Amino acid sequence: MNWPLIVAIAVPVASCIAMIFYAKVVLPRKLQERFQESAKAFGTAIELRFPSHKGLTDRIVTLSRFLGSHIGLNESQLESLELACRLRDIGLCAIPYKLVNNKSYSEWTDRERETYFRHGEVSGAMLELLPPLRNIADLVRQHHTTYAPAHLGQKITGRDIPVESRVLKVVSDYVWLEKWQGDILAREVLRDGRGADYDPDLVDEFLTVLRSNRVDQSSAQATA
Amino acid sequence: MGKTSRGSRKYTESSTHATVFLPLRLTSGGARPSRGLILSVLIILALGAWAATTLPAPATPDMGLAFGLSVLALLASRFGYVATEPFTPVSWRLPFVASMAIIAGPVWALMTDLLAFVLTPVRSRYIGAWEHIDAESAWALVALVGFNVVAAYSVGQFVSPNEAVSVVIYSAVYLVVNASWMIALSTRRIAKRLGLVPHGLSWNGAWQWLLVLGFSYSVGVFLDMDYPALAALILVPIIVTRMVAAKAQEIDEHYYGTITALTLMLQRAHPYSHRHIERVSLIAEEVALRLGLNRKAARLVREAAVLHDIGKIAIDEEVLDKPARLDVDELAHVRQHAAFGADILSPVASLKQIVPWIRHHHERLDGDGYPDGLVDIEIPTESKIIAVVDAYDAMTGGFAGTDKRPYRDPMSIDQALAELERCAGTQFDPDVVRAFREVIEEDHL
Repeated sequence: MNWPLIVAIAVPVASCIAMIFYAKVVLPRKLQERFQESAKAFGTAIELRFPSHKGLTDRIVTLSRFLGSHIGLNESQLESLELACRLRDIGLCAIPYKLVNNKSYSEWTDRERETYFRHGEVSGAMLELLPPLRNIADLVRQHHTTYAPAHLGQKITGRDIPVESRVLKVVSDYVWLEKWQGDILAREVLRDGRGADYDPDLVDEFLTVLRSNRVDQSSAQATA
Repeated sequence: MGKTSRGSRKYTESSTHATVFLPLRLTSGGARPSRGLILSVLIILALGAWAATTLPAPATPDMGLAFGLSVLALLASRFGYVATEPFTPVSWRLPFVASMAIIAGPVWALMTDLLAFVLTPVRSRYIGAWEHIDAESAWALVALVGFNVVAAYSVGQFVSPNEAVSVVIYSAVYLVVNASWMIALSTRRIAKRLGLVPHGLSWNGAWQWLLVLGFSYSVGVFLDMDYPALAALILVPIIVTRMVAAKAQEIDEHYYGTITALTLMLQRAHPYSHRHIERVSLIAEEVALRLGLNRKAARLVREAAVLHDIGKIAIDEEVLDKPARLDVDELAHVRQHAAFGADILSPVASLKQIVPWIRHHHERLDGDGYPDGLVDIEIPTESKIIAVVDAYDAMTGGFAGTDKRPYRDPMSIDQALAELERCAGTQFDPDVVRAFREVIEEDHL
């Protein structure tokens, strides 16, 4: 065995393999991590703008990942879901500061409510302009879309809504309601909205996930 | 940065750097070499060439093989990975240069190394034109001579069992001497004495040096075993590395472009603001270089300049756009944006270094700034730079003059510079103001 010659050939071959592995596996992973970090930063920005939203994103991310894993989403879908969770509300930068901070929700006019709930579209439009984030623009755009048509103009309904958006709808509404009205009422709203506002199967799966101790432990760790 | 035909500097993106072992750039735009420097460089080059000719060389050099290796060296330089951050640059031609030194003698190796350096990546239009050879290039040529002479001398001191070991020794000594030179040049005192800008070191790319040593061993073995044609095999991983590096660079650019665009959108920035923010950031970088910060730190200042007002996302837009003077509560609300900016960016690991710069970009030398009331020596230099650039931008309505504040008309350039100088020593750092004035005046010549 001519070991020096074997080693001499192995060095360039191994370095090629290592480079290709780096390009195909490591680089995409690094990019995903960087975008997740940046998404956290922008989520923080919105929470600073509207303190009433503080802490909601982390809880939504945790619960969404649990629900997503439970229903069999793959790792790539889970990462897109997490990114969508964190960037879903960047459209709130277009909502007037005083509307959310100086007026309670019950005092809003219908027009103001409509303006607020269009933030999903605004978020989607912003992300649409950025090629690396285009794949989650649609997920974010649909995250307040009801499962059944709420009005004549609603084009996308039911299973046509991306699954990640349906997950986000269930989880984000639950977390919001849990914060302001408590867990029991939040679950009741989800049950009442099965098939109308929410994907009925997802509601059932989510309520199962909520009963799991791991969710509570993980949430406690996340907020500690 | 390049020079326009009228001689003023334009704030354009830095051009591609040379793949040299030095934290230098073979681009025009550096300091013009003085006659004394040119003479010193020529003397050193001549001494180096003489030293190289006195070093031991093979009695019967294989010139055909040497020619083949020199072609491979030039190809490796041409197609090798060009670092976007030239802080730990790598010479991919070294395995072939080292092999040439062993089989044909140090003179041929030196000539090939110098030729490859001069030919790449500066395109042929610059060859032989003195006005395009700046202080950085001159010192780079001197250093290459030094590396090769020391490496060849070291090989001569060992009784090597075979050519492969000799090639590895040559490469290893070359790398060590080069690293020492880079470390020396990264210190401000030495760099300034040579008329250079210190770059700052980043060892992220040091693994590439191990690759170069590995390739040196491979080429040495191929020559030892009489398979010289296999030496061309080494070009394959060099080209693959270049492709992967280009991909990584593209991803980097996309990432930063995306974050910048998202930041501007969130700040509800006007459409032309992207250009003006880019200009602001390039000026901040140039001011940082003038103040003696190394290139790595200056690059970060540029990024900080783009992101410094991200905290305004969390501020009431009615207060920000109020045409009249702000009351006490409104002022306190707006002043939170500096701390908010730091809070927003703290989760991002790659931006960790700039977080305190953004937090303190509204501090004043006299301690009357915010949010922490720091005084002169406590304030990071980078924050002082951003403070000056930001204030000038606010006074003049943006560097394009189109982003005026709602509460007053923009000032002229002279008025704004005069105001900066009036506040130097209390609000702004005088050295920063001085450097900033130089940069602005050169830009407007």
